Amino acid sequence: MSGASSRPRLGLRGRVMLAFAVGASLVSIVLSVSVFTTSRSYMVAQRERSAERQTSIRAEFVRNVLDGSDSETAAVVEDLELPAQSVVLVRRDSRWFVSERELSPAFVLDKLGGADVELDDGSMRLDVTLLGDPYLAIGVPLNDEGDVLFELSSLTELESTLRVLKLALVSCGVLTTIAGALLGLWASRRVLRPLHDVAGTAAEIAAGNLDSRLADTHDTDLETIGQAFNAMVDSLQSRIDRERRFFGDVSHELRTPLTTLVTSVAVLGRHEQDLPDRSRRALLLINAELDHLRRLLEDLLALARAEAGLHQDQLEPLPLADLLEHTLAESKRPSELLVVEHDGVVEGRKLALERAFRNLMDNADKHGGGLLGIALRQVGESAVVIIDDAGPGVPEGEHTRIFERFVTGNPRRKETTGTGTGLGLALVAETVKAHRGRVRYEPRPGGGARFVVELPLQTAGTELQQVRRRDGARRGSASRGTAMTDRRTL
Amino acid sequence: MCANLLIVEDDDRVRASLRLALEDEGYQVEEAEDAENALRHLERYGAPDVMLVDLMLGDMDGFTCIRRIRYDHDVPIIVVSARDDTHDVVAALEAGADDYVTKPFEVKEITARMRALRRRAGGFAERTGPAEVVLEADDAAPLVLSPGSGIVRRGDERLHLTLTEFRLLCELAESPGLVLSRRSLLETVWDRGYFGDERIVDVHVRRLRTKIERDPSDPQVVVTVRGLGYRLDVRR
Repeated sequence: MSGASSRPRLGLRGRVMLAFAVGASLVSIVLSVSVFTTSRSYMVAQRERSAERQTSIRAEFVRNVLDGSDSETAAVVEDLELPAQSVVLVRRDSRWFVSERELSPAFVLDKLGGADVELDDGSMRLDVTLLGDPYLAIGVPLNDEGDVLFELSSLTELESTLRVLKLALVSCGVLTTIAGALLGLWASRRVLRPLHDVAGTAAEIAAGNLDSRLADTHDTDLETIGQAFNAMVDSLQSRIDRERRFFGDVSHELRTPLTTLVTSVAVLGRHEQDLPDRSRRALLLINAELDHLRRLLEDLLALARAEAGLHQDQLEPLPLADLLEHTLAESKRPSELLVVEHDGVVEGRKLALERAFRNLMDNADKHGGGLLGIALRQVGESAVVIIDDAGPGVPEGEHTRIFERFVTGNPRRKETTGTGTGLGLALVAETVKAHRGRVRYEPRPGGGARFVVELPLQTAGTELQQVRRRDGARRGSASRGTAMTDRRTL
Repeated sequence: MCANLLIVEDDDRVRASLRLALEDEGYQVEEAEDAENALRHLERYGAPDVMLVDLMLGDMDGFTCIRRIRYDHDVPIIVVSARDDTHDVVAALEAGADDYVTKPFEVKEITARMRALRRRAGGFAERTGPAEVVLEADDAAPLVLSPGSGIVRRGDERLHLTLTEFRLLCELAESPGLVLSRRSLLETVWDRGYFGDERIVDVHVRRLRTKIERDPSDPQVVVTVRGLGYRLDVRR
């Protein structure tokens, strides 16, 4: 399977181009072959006819002048006025005479098939090669006594004509194939252009620009796809708007009373020493539940938001060590818990990732008997964050189920610690997924639980990192002192 | 610590609880239940030291309310919103708010925000004293900043900057020619940490430019350095 997928495959454009090229070349091959064979047979027939005519005229002439002795015959044959490169061979009284003095009659006869060559039915035609050149030999009887005249006319000219024709046809074929390929390229570009527009618009929409639409077209073939695409984006946008409104309404309706509660309880807390003991204990309970309620609402809204793909902040290059360090400081945990083996920069949303890591830390504290440590390292193209706790671990078979919502640690334990919202790990999974990463549970060597978060490293953007570092040096650690005052919700 | 505080909030219970909590913290608290009342209060008693404004008000939305306040006052405004829609936050900042907190918040969070906004222009003003810094030399109308007296002038005309805009400008003017990242500006001007919202800086820079730049769409004084932050160029 991997072999098949690793082989580079031709794209649509390449395939269209190839099809056009193959088609053009097939058409040109068929055309060339038929043109060539037709022209050749026509030209050969022409040549043969003219050779035959010439030979019969020659025979007529020889028939009229021949009557005398052998020497006279030889003289007649040698003095014949022949076209260039033609050779005449005459048999008279079983003796052979040739028009070319340099050639022996036997040599020529040998090419014709020997001295006993006979004409089958009055005349004969034969293709021979003489001294490396092609010749057409035509034999004609001179009289009834078996005297024969052969005339060998050169075919060199015809052959070279045919060669030129062949060359011309082959080059035409090659040019046609190239032209076909180019036409294919042009056509596929043209046909694919609307598809490119669709892809570009889809990418823009995916990047968050929900207002982009495909331009109107008058092409009836493309109209439907354009309209369907725009309708899809319209409904997507209205759904997102609806969800956004819903979150707005829900958060407003729930947060307003919660604000009054939190603020009033803070007033009570400030005057705690004035309260009787029983009221103070009740206040403690209220405080704990209020905290739980707040976290539940925050997690619920954050989860719904993450699932709907609504984001609170922008993607930015984030050095993870920095983020984890501040996450620890923000939740008032000692910074020694973090062990950075290899820092990595990821493209992420600061608040979402902080919430996810904080949930994992809270989870370790609430269900895992305490956070043991956080390690940051790099494996291949990923930054890996490992969060260990000292708890009993998660039973076999629950390893993936714990990332589902409203699954908390075992019910008996919940009674004693009781602050898990059951949404924390679901939110972690959702956030990590949105960052193109993975989260998994594995038993920690030596007991306890271990959560492993893998996030793809960012390749570019080191500039920002450098500035951040420079900033840090200039401003000192001012940020750590103020981090805890900087709480936001959702 | 006896700062004057005006809470503009349409929910009676939230308002009452905030009053209780903030009076405990030593603030002198006034209340307004809607925008009309808030504006009337400002007209009658002048601007308080700091304002808390909810975005959902009965009679007009918080954005309009903030814009109306900004016509006449440069009082620090903190938006209190139960909506965390990012558009709302940016719109409120663009209308003229200085900072925001989302409900439900802890009281100490809101007092920290108010403290940060009410700080004076920091060490730069003390060191520079009443002396003037020319930010943009121009024969006709130079842009002049006097950190000590809290004044920015373009020629003879005095520019009206909010306290926060002024502190942002002073912060940038302290290291002319150097790039300051959004995060460091967020720390020094707003006292917000690592997880602060950097858009606060962007919106304030935008607002600052409309007031001090000759052409805000082509800024010459406060320059954006892509991907890094902002830099103040002194033009002589």
